[in-house]
Amino acid sequence: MKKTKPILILLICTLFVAGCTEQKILERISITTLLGYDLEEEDKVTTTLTVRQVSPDDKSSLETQSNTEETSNGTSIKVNLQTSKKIMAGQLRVLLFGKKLAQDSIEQTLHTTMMNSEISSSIYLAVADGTTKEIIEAQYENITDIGQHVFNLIDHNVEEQHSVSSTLHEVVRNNYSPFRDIAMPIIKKEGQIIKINGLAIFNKSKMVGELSSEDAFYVIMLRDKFKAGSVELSLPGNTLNHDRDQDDKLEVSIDSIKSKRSINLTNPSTPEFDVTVDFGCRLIELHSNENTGRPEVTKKLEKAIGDKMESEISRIIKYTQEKNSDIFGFGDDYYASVRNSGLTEAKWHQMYPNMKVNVKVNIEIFRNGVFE
Amino acid sequence: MFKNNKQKKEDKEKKEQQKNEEKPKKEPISPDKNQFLLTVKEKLHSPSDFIVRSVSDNMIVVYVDNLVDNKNLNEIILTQLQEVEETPEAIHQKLTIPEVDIVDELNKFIGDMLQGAAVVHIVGHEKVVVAKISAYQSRGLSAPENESQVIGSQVGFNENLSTNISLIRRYITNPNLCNEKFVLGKQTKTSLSLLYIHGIATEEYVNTVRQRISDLDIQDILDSAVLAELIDDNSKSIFPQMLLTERPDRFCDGLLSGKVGIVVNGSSMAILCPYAFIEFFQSREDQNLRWPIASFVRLLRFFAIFTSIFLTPIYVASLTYHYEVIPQPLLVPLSESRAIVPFPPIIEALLLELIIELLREAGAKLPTKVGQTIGIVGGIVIGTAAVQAGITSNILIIIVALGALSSFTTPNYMMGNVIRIVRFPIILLAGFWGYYGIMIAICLMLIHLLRLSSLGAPYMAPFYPPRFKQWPNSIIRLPITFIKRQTVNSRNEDSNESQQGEKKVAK
Repeated sequence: MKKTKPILILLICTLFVAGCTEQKILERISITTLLGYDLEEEDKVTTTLTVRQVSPDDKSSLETQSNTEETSNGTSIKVNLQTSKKIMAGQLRVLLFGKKLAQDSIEQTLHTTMMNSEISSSIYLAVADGTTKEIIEAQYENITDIGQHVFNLIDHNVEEQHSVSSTLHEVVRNNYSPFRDIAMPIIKKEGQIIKINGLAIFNKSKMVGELSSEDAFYVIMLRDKFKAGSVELSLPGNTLNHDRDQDDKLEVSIDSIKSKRSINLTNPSTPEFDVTVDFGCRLIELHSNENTGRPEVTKKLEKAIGDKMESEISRIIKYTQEKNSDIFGFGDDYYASVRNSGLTEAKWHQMYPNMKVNVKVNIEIFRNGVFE
Repeated sequence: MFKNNKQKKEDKEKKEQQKNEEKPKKEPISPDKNQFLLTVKEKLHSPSDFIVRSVSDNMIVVYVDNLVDNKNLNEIILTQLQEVEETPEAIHQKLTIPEVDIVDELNKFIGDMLQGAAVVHIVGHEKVVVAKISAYQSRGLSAPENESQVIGSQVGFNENLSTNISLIRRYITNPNLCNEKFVLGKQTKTSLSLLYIHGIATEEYVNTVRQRISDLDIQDILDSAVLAELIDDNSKSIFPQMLLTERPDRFCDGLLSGKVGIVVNGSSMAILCPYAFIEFFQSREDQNLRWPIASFVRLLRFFAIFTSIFLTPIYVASLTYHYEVIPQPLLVPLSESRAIVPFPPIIEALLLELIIELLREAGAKLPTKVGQTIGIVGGIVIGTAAVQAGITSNILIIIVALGALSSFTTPNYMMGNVIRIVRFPIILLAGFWGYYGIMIAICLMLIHLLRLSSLGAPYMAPFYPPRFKQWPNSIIRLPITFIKRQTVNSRNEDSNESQQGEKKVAK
């Protein structure tokens, strides 16, 4: 008898409290998969989104909705006025920023996105070349679900390390870190195709520059490890054969790249960094008739590839220094290596353009001439 | 705990007192023929199948028709009684029947007579000769229906106690196999046997079972399942704490690994205890298969329990509250199949689960041939019709069918039932509170399981209390040379060290 009372109370609570939970039954809500923010005049923001709705005729349909309001909540109220089912953002996969908005500041948008508990922190963020509205609202012949398409586009390129990973989690982490800046892919609509067209680099939360998508390779190399990357390089024509002209390009393609980078602060006052990248790869394409089985040929190739990469990396670092955007996180290394540095965000952004970096890339070609 | 023990003790004393009071007084046997017949008839309320047969002027044979073996009666008793001196002692010596007794007490020989004995009464003697020539009308040995196995023996217990015990003795030819007889039930006087192997079984468990059986004060026992419920640790729990098996090989395997067994007359199921939770999911057949195959099947079974219990609740919770967790490729098919369903997921799931339960119950109650038809009607007709009518979604039908299928892989029917029924409260909680509800259900279930015991031995052993050495063979089936003979909860403290760690096979 003693036990019956609490059980009864529990049962009654179950019944009453169950009424308080908010039900989100799958087919009775509209699901957003892609969201785009564009900046309009007077600080207003246009929100464009794709909405998947299920109708009782067994078919699900995609709609795009667009609205302009000052806060994102305001727009969501307005969008809800236009749809038959409540819009939920829990299945959001990609968040796009219009270029104008990115250049203005994405701080506010990041903040509201982070605050929304529904939204997963593993969604991808990207900058749209132009406005997001024209990408999302355009009609495509071969793309049925634009939300899923853009997500897959970014996802598989991140998996294969062709593009910098820019999940909400990583971006917010970089944004909140005082000595590190954001980089995220740029997406562009070209006719009927949507493609990744480079890398946007940020100073704090403002987009300040663009790198080409080929440069993204070197950015990943400095920021991260390669587990299985691949790249195509054009070396000077006289690398292997001295008779040939230097301007005649020698095309090389390598894959199965494994790389590891280490950053050492050598001189805190300038500051000066030593960046060493250990780089292993497999040669798959070489536009030359040289016998790559010979060790001296491989040596020459390794040296030429290393030189090429060093110069490319130096160029990219220089560009980021011009734009004052520390996407590699040198500031974090500085802060970690120098005791009592009293480094602040403002101080680091003063130091960054004057920073010196010595890049050393050690290439090793493990295999060549794999026949598949 | 203390209070409980005290109460139990008091109860026990009371019961003993009652027993003493109720014990019938010793009634003498009348030496006079007519008086004797009168008292016996009065005792039995003059039944129509009570037969009195005069052998000579002074000697009569009484018995209950159909309970005695007519061949023995005619060929041995009746012929030999013609030639014998008319004293009980002489008859006792002369009769060529295995079991002959001299009894001087009325109630005792009436009990024997009701079990199939012929009673010889001689005028002038206060004793009777009881010749036990009972004929059992029992079904022949057949394959067990509920616990079938592909490889291994195909014999099952039947309803006859002595046949069952002889089956067990054929498996274990060992003088240490102890057989203690009890009679239970005031009305039915059902006999039952407590079996264990001396030296392997833990004395503590044997004593517990013995005590619990002798403490029982009930009117009737018709099946061992009732007995199991009466003597287990927590009769109110949904989980069975003792195994009911109809396989002699499984029963003997249990005895050999140190468990205590009970066989009840009139029931084709024998009881094995103590049994741990995990052991309900181990089949005897696992021992007969090669170890990697048996391990795979065993793991499959564990997986099946989880799908069976949690798949439908997860469906309900995900679709009602947690649409965020649905993978993108599943999102469209799921929502499209749900589009025309008018109910919320919880109603939909409960409806379909109820249909499946109805089908199962109908199939179990009907004869095999009709049962199959029911399966087809239920599975195909109701399944497709329900989807086309838009009452349920395609995907839920798959999930519910999978859950039902999984629950049937449990080697024990009683445990399989539990797995099926325990789903309903979890579905309800999932419909009320989503994943939180499922978590609450898991917690409550775990707490309950951890509190359970079987003959005082922990039910969740070897996981809690952790006995790491027994984990491998509980989860997978190890090669036979690695198996310790004594299983979870059956460690015999009394037997010496070497025996305790004894392996099944010594190399």
